[in-house]
Amino acid sequence: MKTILIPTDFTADSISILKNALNSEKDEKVNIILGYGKRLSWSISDLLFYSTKSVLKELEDDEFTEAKEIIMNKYSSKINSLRVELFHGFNQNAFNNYIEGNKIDYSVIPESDEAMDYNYKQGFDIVPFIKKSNLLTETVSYTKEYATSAQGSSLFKLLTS
Amino acid sequence: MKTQNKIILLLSSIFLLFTLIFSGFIYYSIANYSYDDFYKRLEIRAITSATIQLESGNDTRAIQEIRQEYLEELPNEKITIVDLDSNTAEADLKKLGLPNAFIEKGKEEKRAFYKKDKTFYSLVYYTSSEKKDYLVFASAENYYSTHHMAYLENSLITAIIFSVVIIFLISYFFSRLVVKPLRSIIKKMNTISTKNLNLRLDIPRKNAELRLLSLTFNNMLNRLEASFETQNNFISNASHELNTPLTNIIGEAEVTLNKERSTEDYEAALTNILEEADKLSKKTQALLYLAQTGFNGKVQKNKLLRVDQVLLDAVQTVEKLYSNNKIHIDFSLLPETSDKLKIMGNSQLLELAISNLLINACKYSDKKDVYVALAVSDTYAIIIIKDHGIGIPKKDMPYIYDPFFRASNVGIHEGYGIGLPLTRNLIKMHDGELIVSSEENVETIVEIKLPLFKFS
Repeated sequence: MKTILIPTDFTADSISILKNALNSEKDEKVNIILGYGKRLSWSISDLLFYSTKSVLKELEDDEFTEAKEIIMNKYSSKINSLRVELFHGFNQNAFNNYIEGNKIDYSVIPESDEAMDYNYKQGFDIVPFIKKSNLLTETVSYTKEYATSAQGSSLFKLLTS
Repeated sequence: MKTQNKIILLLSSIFLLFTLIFSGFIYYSIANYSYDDFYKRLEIRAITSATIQLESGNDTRAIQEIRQEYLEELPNEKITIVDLDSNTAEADLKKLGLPNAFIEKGKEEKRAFYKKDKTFYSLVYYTSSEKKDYLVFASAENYYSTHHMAYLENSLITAIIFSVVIIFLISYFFSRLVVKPLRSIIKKMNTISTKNLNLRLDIPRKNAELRLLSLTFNNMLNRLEASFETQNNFISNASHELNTPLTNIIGEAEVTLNKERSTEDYEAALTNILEEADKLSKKTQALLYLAQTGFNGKVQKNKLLRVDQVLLDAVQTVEKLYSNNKIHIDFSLLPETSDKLKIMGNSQLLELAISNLLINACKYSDKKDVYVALAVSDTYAIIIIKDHGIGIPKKDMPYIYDPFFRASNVGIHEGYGIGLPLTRNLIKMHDGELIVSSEENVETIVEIKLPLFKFS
């Protein structure tokens, strides 16, 4: 069973990278890891009461969760597991450890570097780390499309693209 | 009789009964106690006087002193001692004028009590230290019972009168408190008529019964409004959709009949007429199908449905009505298990809701394609309908759910502004959500979220 790392920025739109990745994945079941870079706080009290669960709860909004569930329902026979794994490190060594620790086999990243919006939830880009590592990468075409206020939820992009 | 009055009466009578029983008991027990107490006083006097008169010695003097010091004189106090061994005993007893039963009882039980009018008698059988038997009679008027009881009676009656007033006031305010939320509901109900069926009662938070009542009433209003709007919707759709082919048929027939024509011309005209009539019949069927939304007096039963089936049925119906438009269905994000597609609802109502949105999409997009997508998350089935039509101006967005409201850019498109409010009500009845977003002259996207049935 392969484990795939896919960068995410917690927008419903970015789930379409996952959708494309799963479309191109032909054989067997896979484990999906959605990767996200998040700096840890410098405050000792914040670290003392740190819990991944609550951080993730803050990051995942309803739309993202819904989009994730749609994909999980659609590809339920292909996805063995899907989880979000935060990366807190600063350098390439830390990222290599992250890859090793999560037993990641390869990664699927968007073609253009500007595709993700990390400022949206105060995170940082892990794509440069992925590119520098000796991980096999596959690129998919993906451009961010912001939902304008007139368009309501951005779920429809995922559904109509 | 009004419920409020009933509550007042019932409450006051219960309280009054309670107060009456309470004061009656107090009166009875106090009266008993005061009689007993007085007989005991008489008895003490009888015994002490007998001791003083019949005995001699130091003890006697002490008793006499105590008696003079502490035992006050009772009103009309009289003490008679009858020597049973003397010859005149019989005559002395007769002289007192007391009933024989009382005296006999005194002889047998050593003590007896008797009451005649206001005078109380106490009899003590006394055996002196010289072994001689005497009967000692003490009698006095009971000042305490006559005066104290009268006072008690008065105060009890005053207390009862006061409590009646207080009880009445309390029950009045209590009944008002109970009836007040009902009154406000009635007031609100009175303001609802066919013109403003969209109004709803406020749901009280605390009162469980009234909450249920308001919820039930609101539910009833939901159904009423839906059925009302369904009829209007049918009329609006029918008048618009049926008129065009009818006008075509009439026009074609009139032009053809204007002058004599060749057989080919007649054939062509009749073919046209047949085509239009065919369309007309199809549309009538589709409209009637939509109008049969089950609001025919029968109780609505919710059933387990497959949301994709409902969507497909709606698309088919709308395709019959609008043959110019092409509706593309995207099922690529359907889940792999059909369990996730099950929703609880009324298929006809849901179909009506979806087809209304599809009709709108087709009507306002002039032969352009309409896209429909269906996806399922863990809690919702999400249907998205997208068209590239005239859209809705930004300033009109807040009013799109108002009955009879039509956007300012509808132009030649006929309609009555009934479809969208009806659709929203139908979706609401299924606990769903309807989100409409649009950009003028670019596109309109309608998102329907319906809660999935939870297998548990």
